[in-house]
Amino acid sequence: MTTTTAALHRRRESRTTSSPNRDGVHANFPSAMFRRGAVSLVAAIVLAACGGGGGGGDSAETPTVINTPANTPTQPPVEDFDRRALLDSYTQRVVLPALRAAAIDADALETAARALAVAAADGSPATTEKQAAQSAWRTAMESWQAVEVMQVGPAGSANMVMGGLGLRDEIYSWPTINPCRVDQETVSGDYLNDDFFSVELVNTRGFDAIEYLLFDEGDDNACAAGVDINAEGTWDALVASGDLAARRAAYAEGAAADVAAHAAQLRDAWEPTLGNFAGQLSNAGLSGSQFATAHDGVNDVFAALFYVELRVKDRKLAAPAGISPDCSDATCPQLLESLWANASKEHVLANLRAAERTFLGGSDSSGVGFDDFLIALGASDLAATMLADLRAAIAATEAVPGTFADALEDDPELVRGVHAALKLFTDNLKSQFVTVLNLEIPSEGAGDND
Amino acid sequence: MERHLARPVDASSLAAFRILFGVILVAGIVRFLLQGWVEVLYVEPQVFLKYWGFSWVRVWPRWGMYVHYTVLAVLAVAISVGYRTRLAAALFLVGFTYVELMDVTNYLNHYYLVSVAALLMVVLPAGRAMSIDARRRREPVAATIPAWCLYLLRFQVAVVYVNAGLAKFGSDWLLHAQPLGIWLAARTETPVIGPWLGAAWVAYAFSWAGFLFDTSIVLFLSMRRTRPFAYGFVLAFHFMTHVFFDIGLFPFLMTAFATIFFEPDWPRRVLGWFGARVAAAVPSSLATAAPLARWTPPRIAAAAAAGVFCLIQVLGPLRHFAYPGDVLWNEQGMRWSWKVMVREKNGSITYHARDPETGRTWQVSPTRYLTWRQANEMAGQPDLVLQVAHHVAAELKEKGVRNPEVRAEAWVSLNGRRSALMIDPTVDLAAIADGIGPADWILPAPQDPPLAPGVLRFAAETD
Repeated sequence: MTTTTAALHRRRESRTTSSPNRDGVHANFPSAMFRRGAVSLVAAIVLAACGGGGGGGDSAETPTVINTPANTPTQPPVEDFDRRALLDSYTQRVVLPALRAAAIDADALETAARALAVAAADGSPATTEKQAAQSAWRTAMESWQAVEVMQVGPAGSANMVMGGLGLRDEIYSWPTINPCRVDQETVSGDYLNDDFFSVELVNTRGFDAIEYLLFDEGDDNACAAGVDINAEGTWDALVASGDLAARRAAYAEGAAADVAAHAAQLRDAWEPTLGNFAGQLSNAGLSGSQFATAHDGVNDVFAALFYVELRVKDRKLAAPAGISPDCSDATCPQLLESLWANASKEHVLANLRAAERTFLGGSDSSGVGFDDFLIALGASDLAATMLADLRAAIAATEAVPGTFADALEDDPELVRGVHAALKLFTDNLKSQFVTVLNLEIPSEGAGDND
Repeated sequence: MERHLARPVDASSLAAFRILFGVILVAGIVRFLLQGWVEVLYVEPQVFLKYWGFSWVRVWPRWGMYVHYTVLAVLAVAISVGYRTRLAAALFLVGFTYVELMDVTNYLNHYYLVSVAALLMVVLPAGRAMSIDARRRREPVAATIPAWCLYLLRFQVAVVYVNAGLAKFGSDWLLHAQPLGIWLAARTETPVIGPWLGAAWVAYAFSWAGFLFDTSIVLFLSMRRTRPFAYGFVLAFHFMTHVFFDIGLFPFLMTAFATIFFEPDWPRRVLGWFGARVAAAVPSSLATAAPLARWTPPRIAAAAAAGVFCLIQVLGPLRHFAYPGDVLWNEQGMRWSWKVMVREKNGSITYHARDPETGRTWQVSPTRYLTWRQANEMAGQPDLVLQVAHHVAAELKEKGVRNPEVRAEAWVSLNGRRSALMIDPTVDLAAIADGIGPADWILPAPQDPPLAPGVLRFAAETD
């Protein structure tokens, strides 16, 4: 896990099941509930004496109909907003469909990679099978990019996320990639070992390694001249033997099987009839859930949504487009995601569409999402603005012709335009949105507050 | 007046203050270490933001920070048991204040309170009773202290409460019940009372109750007849703030410090309830017959120092009036003024850097230098936005840009308002020096009202 991702998830290590606040001290679930029960007793006596019951019955409590522009959610305002309904929508309409699709497409990639490995075993170019495997990778990767924005629970680190199993990094480790290590393993043949995919670092397997194996053309490797496979001539020997394509295909087959297995594991961890993390999140705050409160669950969903700030805006867009000081030239296409398949635009699109579904609580406005939460709190303008900004970012991405690499060469302002459009959304995400909903910026939870 | 201030009173209440203070410090430091906050606050960050004038303060290496906090814990134990009390308090004061000076983003009002209280433990004869120091004295000193010692402590506690109350005297808090409305709405899952916490009237009730508590509690603690009830309110208030907001040591410190308003011999009385035979510290014959000391130069200097201290404590929190605008927005005069929990503020900061020679521009996120926790803390504080701008400029200079220009696009939301620009985006912050004067590069606060509390109810979300 990268430092940034670790920072994203480190907040959770100090969080157990107490109320959502900016204090890093979190009591265990029973202790926190006991304290709240005690203060509830005190406050209940006071409030009963003051009058007002059942949530308040005076005119200030009358639900207000919020007028919204035509292109904003049209769901009627919810009289009694239920955060658990938001979590249930997120679970049933956003996460589970994404995980199931990712698992199916990962299986298809494994099948296609196996066909390629068989066809290429005798040294033949296996062009048809290779194209099929590449297409399967694109499909599987696009499905996975949606899950990238949903690193709640099992996808997160076991040490840092409620219910974390570290499965994201077992499947995709970008930006931690190392094609040179993949080349070294190709030469050594260690990928044939039974335990290779369970012991090796994530940057020698996963979707990014498969991409390199399937899409890199030519006989060159990604290592410096002084690295062993070049210094000792073992790479050249492999190329000369004509086995390079067969080895890459076999390596890709093993890596695809590993990805498919982990994708299935992740899906099963969420499935209501299996690991049932879906139930844990949907029932946050109820007995039996790891989450002490529904607000804790909502906060985890928000933290996952922060992917669009940390990864999409800053890494996938700003750096390659020359906006970030990480790029010393006018543009840095070498910093794009998906360097070999050139699918960075499709990945960003998948990320943003997943963010939209998270925001809406589903693929349309019929779910309960953050938009409804904002409307319920009287911030309908903010809900409308953020949704419009997110959709504008999606449209800006769709409007980029060809690949991001093409655009960076021909018209970098198109990529910068996507960055600018997304920034409008993330500016509100980090300021008014987090304020109104009283959420925690990732990693904010360490330390006290006053 | 002089005789009244000098009259001997039982030292046991000061001893109890010292003991409670020390115990809370020990618990707080141990908690700090066990929570792993040394790693998060001092090891992980690559850049630390400094107080003006204290850029020389260095952060120790990882092992050094653990040693530092361990030493603080030992000193806190020494304070609580009254072993070499003044020395322990002095060392603790230096050590604790130094660690707080390492990074502005770690500032908390109750950390400042700890430093102030430690200073008072140095000045006052806190080890005179119920201490190892008292037992070790070859010639026992009467377990009494001059009354002015208690009055000084009561003054300090009053400063905290009154200023916390004055900080709530504003339209956001009293007329719009914010930020409490936002915070309480996030706690509607609290058993029994949870569904009420999303209601507007509850937010207003809590806001006004908090304001009235802070502004009046010292008065009621000062009067014997109302003191027991007032302390009951102290317990209830701080218990609720601790549960709802988990603001660390603050509730415990204030609950302990408020005991200084009790009768000076209250610990002896309490011990007596439990059957302990405790002699009165102040024989009645001495209670009012203390001879007045002569006004020697050291005594004059001490009195003057006390006067200066009190003046700083009174005027310091009011210095924000010397700056134009809303202190909750511009933060000028915010720190060390006991404006506790009066704003919910978050921001999105983007630095726009430019090489004037080539016209090349960049956008830089504060997280390039800071952890997310630091970046979130600095986002609402203009002087820290300025400081990070200087870091951006420094990096670009290292990369060969001779006179980089750095401007900040700082979108900030205060108490749920629509985000507004906090910093003038046209000003080159790289050319602005940090200082304590009014900052004309900070834009005026937005004039729209904060988010209205309790617009809609929350459904029952508990079992």
